[in-house]
Amino acid sequence: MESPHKRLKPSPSDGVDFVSFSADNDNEVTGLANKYGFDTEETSVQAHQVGKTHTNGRPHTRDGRFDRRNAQDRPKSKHLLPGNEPWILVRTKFGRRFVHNTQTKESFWRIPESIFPAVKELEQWEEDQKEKAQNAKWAEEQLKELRPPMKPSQTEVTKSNDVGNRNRRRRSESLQREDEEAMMAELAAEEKRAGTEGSAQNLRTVEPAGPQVGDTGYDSDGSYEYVEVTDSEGEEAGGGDPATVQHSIEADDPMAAVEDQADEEEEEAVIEFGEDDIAYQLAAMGQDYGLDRGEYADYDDQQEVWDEGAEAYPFSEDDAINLFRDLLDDFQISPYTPWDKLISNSDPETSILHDDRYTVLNSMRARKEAWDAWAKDKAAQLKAARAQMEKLDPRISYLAFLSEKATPKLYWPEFKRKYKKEAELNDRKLSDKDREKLYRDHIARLKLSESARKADLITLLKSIPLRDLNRDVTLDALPQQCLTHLHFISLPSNKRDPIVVSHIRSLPPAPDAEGVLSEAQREEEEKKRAERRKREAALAARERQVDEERRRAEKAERMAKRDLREGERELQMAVTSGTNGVR
Amino acid sequence: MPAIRSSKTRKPPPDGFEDIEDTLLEFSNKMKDAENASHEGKKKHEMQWPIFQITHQRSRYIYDLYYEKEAISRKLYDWLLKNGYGDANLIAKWKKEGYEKLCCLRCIQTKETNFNSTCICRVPRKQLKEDQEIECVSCGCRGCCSSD
Repeated sequence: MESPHKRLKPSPSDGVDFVSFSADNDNEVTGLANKYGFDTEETSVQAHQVGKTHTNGRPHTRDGRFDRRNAQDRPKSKHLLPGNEPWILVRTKFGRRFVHNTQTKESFWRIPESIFPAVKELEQWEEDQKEKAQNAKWAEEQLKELRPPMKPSQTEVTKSNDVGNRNRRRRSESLQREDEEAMMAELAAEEKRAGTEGSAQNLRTVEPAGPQVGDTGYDSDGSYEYVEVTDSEGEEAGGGDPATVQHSIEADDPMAAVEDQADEEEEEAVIEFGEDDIAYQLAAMGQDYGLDRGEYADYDDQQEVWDEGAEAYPFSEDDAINLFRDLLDDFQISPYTPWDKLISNSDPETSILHDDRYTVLNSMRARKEAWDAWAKDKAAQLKAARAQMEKLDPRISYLAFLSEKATPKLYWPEFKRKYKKEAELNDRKLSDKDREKLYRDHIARLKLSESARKADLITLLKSIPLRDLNRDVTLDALPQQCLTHLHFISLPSNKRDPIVVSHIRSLPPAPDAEGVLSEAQREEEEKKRAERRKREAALAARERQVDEERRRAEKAERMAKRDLREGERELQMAVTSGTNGVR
Repeated sequence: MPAIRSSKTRKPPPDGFEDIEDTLLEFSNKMKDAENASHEGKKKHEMQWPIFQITHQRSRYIYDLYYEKEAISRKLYDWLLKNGYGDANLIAKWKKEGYEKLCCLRCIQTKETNFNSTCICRVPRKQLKEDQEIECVSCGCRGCCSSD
């Protein structure tokens, strides 16, 4: 992906954080800016204020502006669509977007299909940039924690040159430590930014010195797009969903900047209002006008249709229980664990408490019941599996141990005493008598001639049926009849292995008998897996719904608050206008 | 004279013991800690409470595994009781109606009390006064009535 504008421009002298869309340098955009009637800052402020009161007075007036909702919306940023030159994508303050053709002067909320891929591409690119910026920000924060805190003067006077440089130095420091890839990206971004910053400066100077929201988020790569314009902007976004807070502004057009400045001035009067006051006022006003809460709290339902059934999540009790069981399966909990121990485990790695599926059952009693049922089933399953599995002969490990350690030099009591700490000699499944007998027999066999032992080994291998020992058997998976036999360990492994391998090679492949009964099993497995996938999808859908609803509620609240503030401002104006009255 | 059985000559535990071995080991460690805990600042009868509580927990664990989850074999269950991992008499009470949650055997010994009654922890919550917090003397139980 490429950034919309990628001209190499000389680096600016100071480290101004704010970057505009480079209205002065970019011809296409300049044309647009002129069209909007914002050539210089003074006129633009006036034009803006005029536009605010009379809702016209600018060449580009949409019908939608008379809409109550649209009246407050403002274009916030615009982006060239690479490949579709006359078209630009415009973002608004409310997070909506439309496309605009600078030549034909057409605007569409609905993006035409011909340029839709370009828009999609742009958004994808932005997404990537945002992610990168977040990563870098996180790294920066980590670093900040490590470093001693900066002097307050440094953080306050962000406009001064040296701080800008310091910022940049700090960034590059962190980059060196963090990753070089991001560093390269930053350098590229710096070059790109260089040109745009020059034009940004003069805009910046007009702005009142308020807290710079974007400054803290100013970070390594693609940072120029991370700048929040003013604090009024940040305030609005701050109340809402994180998506808009971190909404990356590609480049702010001068209009947005100036508009926001004007907004800020107007809002000075209203700003003493706390959030609670606003909410209270809102409720009071709603009652005065005899409105329902739903009526004054949301008015963005034109665009987004409310989901009626969002409250009743399609999540049956069985699903919840099964999800909980899946959780237990996934964490490979032993069914023999006591319940108290399971829930008192708070280790982030192994504890089930931190998993989302733990909360699908909402009472401890329900969880305990689910656990009991699961443990019962699981234990039965384990039991069945064990019954099917071949029992491992305790002699195997003991014989392997003997083949390593036994020598004719040691009698049994000596051998026993020497290795009494070894696990093989303490295995309770094999009695001491058996161990002694095996040891003595083994020592006796070691005294035989090697050819005799070799012959015995070959007869042993030949005695094993083809089903167990055939060409497909490897050396690590020899059958038990072989491993538990004394004749097998009589030879040291370096001499034994070639004999065994050559014998196995001479054998025919295994007789074909299996693969018939597994068909039904496989089908069943498949069915189980499909069911599980379905349940998990249901969980994800539920989470998404909850999220969406929360976002909607927040948005509605924000809108309502803004509406109230607007009303308040009008009142204020009515009061201040005094004897002239409101026209 | 019977043969002396050392740990090496002892018969191995029944199958399935490996599954619960770790948990039982934890219980026995806890028990050792409780046995060696200091008596500083504790009442005389309070000293024995953790012993009773751990015994109860361990017996309940074995009881659950055998009767509720059916996860261990009869053979192993008998072996565990025989080897003192669980209290057979306590488990015998749990099988009886009204005693499903019994904390310890001492609490139902009427003959050991002055008024020939059971312990306070056997009294249903409903019959107690509002917000009456109890901790019985014999094992520190806070109420083990089946209806609670």
